[in-house]
Amino acid sequence: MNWTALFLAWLAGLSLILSGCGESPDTEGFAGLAETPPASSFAQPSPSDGIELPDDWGPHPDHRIEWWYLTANLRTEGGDPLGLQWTQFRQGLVAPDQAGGSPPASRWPLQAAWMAHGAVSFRGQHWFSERFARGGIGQAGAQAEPLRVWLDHWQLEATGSNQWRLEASGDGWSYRLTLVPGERVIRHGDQGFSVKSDSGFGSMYFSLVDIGITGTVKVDGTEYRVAGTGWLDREWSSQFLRSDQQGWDWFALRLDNGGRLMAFRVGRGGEAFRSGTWVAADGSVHALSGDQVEMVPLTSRETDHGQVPAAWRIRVPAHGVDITVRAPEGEYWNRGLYPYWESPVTVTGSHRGEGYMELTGYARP
Amino acid sequence: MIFRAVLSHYRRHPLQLLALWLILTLATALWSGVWTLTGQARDSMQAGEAQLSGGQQLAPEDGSPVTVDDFVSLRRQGLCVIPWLEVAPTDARGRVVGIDPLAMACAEGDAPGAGMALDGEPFVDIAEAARLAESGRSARLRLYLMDGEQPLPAGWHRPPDPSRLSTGELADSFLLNLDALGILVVLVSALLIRSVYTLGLAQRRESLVLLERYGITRRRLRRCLLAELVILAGLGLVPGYLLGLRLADGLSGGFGAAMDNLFETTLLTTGESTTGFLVTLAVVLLVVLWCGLDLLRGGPAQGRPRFHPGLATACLLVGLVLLLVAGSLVTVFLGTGLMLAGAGLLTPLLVVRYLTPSPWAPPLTLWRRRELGVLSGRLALPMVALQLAAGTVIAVHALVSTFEDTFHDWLGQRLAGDLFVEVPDDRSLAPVASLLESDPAVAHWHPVIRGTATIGVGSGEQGVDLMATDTRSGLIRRWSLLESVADPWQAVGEGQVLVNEQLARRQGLAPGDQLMVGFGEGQRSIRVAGIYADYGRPAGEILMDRRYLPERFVPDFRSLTIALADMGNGSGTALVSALASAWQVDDLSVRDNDTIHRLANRVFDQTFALTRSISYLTLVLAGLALLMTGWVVLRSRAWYYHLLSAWGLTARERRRVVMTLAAEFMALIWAAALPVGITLTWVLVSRINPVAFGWSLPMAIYPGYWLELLGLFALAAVTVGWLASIGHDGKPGTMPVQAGGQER
Repeated sequence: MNWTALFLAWLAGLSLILSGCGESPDTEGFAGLAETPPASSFAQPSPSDGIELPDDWGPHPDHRIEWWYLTANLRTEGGDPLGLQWTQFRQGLVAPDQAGGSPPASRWPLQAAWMAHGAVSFRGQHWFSERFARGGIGQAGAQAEPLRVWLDHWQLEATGSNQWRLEASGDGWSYRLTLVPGERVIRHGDQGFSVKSDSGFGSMYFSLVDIGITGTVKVDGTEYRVAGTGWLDREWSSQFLRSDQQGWDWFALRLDNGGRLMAFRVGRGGEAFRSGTWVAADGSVHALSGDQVEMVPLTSRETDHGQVPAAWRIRVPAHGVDITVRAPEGEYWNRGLYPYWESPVTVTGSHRGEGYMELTGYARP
Repeated sequence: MIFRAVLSHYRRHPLQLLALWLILTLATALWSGVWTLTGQARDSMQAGEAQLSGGQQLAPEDGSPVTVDDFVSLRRQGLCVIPWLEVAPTDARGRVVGIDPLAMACAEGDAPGAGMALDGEPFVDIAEAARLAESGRSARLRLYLMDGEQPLPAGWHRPPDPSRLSTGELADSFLLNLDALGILVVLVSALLIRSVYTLGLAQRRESLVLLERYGITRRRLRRCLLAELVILAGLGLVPGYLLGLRLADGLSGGFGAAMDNLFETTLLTTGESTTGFLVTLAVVLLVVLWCGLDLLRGGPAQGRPRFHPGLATACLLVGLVLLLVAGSLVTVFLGTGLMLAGAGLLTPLLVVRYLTPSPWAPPLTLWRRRELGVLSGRLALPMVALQLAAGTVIAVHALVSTFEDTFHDWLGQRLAGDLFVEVPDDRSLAPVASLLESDPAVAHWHPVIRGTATIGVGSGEQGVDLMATDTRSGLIRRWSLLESVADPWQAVGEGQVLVNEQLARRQGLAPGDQLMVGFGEGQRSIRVAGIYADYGRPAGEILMDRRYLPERFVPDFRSLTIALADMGNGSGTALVSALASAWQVDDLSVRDNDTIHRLANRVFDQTFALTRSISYLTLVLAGLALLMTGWVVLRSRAWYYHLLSAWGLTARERRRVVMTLAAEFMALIWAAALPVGITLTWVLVSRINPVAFGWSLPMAIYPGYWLELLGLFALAAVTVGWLASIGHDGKPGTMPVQAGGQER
């Protein structure tokens, strides 16, 4: 899906931090993620890779970038909707063929850097925190079996058969949730290979789209018991964004007829690259090409960071989908190193439902 | 057209224009250079503070060294902890601090690295610092908890932080010192610029009067002259400012090293800053305004120089009282400023008094005295400027020389030994102690154990450096103490402590006082047996016998100091091999006396390099200005000197008279600079130094250097005299203009 722009911006910032220089990396193909891979490179994903579980829950050090990304539409005991997000990114800084093994932690190796985002959206307010860590010393990492993804004290871990626990906290918010991931795994694109540009670059991408979630969320000192459904994306790649591609619009929607829709748009205007996945109520999975998905912004919302298309019309005519997706009142900027919009949404139109929307590239510089 | 006419003066006197521009440029360069350097240093200190603002060091309660795993464990518990890996300096490279920009993000509550200027030396990625540490350089990992309100996990405590030992604002005082020197430079150069400009203005009076006669209003003329001044200032400002940046850049290496060595503050290069330029612009505008005041009042100051004996005496007295009672550096500077102002006001008055000729003096002497009186009036401003500049140079020289002498003696005592061997981690002293005792090649030896302790201050605690050694060692007992109880080494051997001068001054300690000393396991009340000089260390330090160290004391560093019976025939090498073998290690870190002397001397050379450079550059500037004004004034009076031929003097004799005149004038300034220099020396060593560096020096004066300076002045006199007399042989010169009964 989507986080690439965000991630690339982070990489840009990261490279600035680590190099200590002020030159913008944008002109250099987003910190190395140019079309032409460097001579010593990370592995490139392809349809033949396939998705192997449970291994692919773990890290992919042969690939440059990857993430675990959970969004959830929950309700409090009082029935108020509450959205939350937890994301963890890994960025490989040293290609495996150059790494020369894993140095001991005492050398503070910087072969990979990690970033985590946590957010809670409730009653028109939005809380967000961001954390960073270097890989190779144990401060952050991931393992497939039993599943564990952590950065500092933020952690997603398997606590039993088909049960996970997610804990994270930041300024003014915290959550402690029990997740029941379910068995259904959606492989996007071609056997999990999701194309991200006309030139064919892409990523390996699968999702859990119906995670049962219960637990507690605390905001501004008040603790709420919550329950609802989450959507977890797992994605890894080494490069797939063209340096001229700007802006990402991504939607993960659960419709009330049992249908599930993931759709994204890379870039703006007529040149935008569109793709998606339709999961029918009967469980059949259909990869959607650009001409099968129509995504049109309907209204813009003036916010502190710029104008945001807070309402969209999304059509998938082949599957009878013609819906309006709308963010609730409020501002849902994740004000981190690179601000982006991450909000829960409601769905009306041919179907009703809810889900999450991520928009990048709208923040005023 | 009018402007061209106004400027025609400089067509006739291009050198004057060049000199005025040069002085403006050089003066701007000097003060903007000093301002940039101190500004950089202040920003650096603030950045250093900001990096750890609100941070507290965390350490395991069992005293074990901090590891990467500890860092990870604390982070995994949700504590915002940041690592700080400090690698000791070597000959080739200074101190290095390894940081993890990613980890620091939690402390900033913002993007990592945002708002921090941690790029460039000594800040490197912690992986780079770890690599240096692995290559054999001594290193220490510390962890800082950035949220003081978070409860500590079991097994951890907040020890006093050695890197944040109270240094009594020393670094800031050091910079304040430089600022004061910078202000002195501004004052001296403002005096010079004004004197050069007003001199030029006086020369132009004729042509200006002529322009008025042609119908140009005085108001318009003044506007033209002001515009000319502003343009000139502008022309001097930009190259001067850029030159100042280059100057700061050139001096920043040594200055940065001094800051690092003295106060563990790293100089961050901040480059050009708008504020820096604006400050320079403001200073130039003020100076120009001062020069332009005369224009606004209607022309250059008329008549004889005005003397203010009452004001001068008041300045001197108030300044002296302030200096004697001052408790803060700012008051010391204020007192010094008043003393200098008083000296500046009084000097022309005294010179005129001194020059009042005796009616019985020979005619030529009488003439010379009168002429000197005229010159003193004409050149009052540059004369005072040179007097202050020379006084500063004398004082800075005395300070540096006194320090060098004192420091060399002190270093000789401190480094009484031939070999300094670092004790490897986890190795006990016991296996080598018997070896050293029995080896005939060893004359004396003692261990040095360094770490940190706390002292009770009021109801709280303060971190201090701790040095423990064997105080029975003959090498240690050679130390001379500033103050002590009777038989201090015996007292220290019985469990008392010595404190360094910095700590004694800061805490008001005297021999015989009781001090609460903490070693992480409760406090002991220990008697102070004496005070020792400890140059260059900003922090307080206590020295004790190692037999009284708690058993569980965890040192930061241990070494052996060994004096050999005979340095020849490779006894040192053999001993080091024997020590390595006793400790069962392959390599030992060994430094010889020469290396340490070289390192220490480098540190202190760097400490005063900037002060010395600024004072000499100011002297050069003042000297240049005096050369130029002297030359112009003497040439303007060539007509009078030519009249000496009426007394039967030959051209050669007349030249000699002019030379003598110039020499006497210079000697007067030199003599006037001596009391200023001596007073400033006293202020520096007795008043400013203890506040700025934490230690005092004995007062000493260096008459030999005064004579050297006199030689320099004599050279300037000969040059001025020669310049003034060439080209006038046989020519009558220009008769001075008479205006309003005053010769111009």
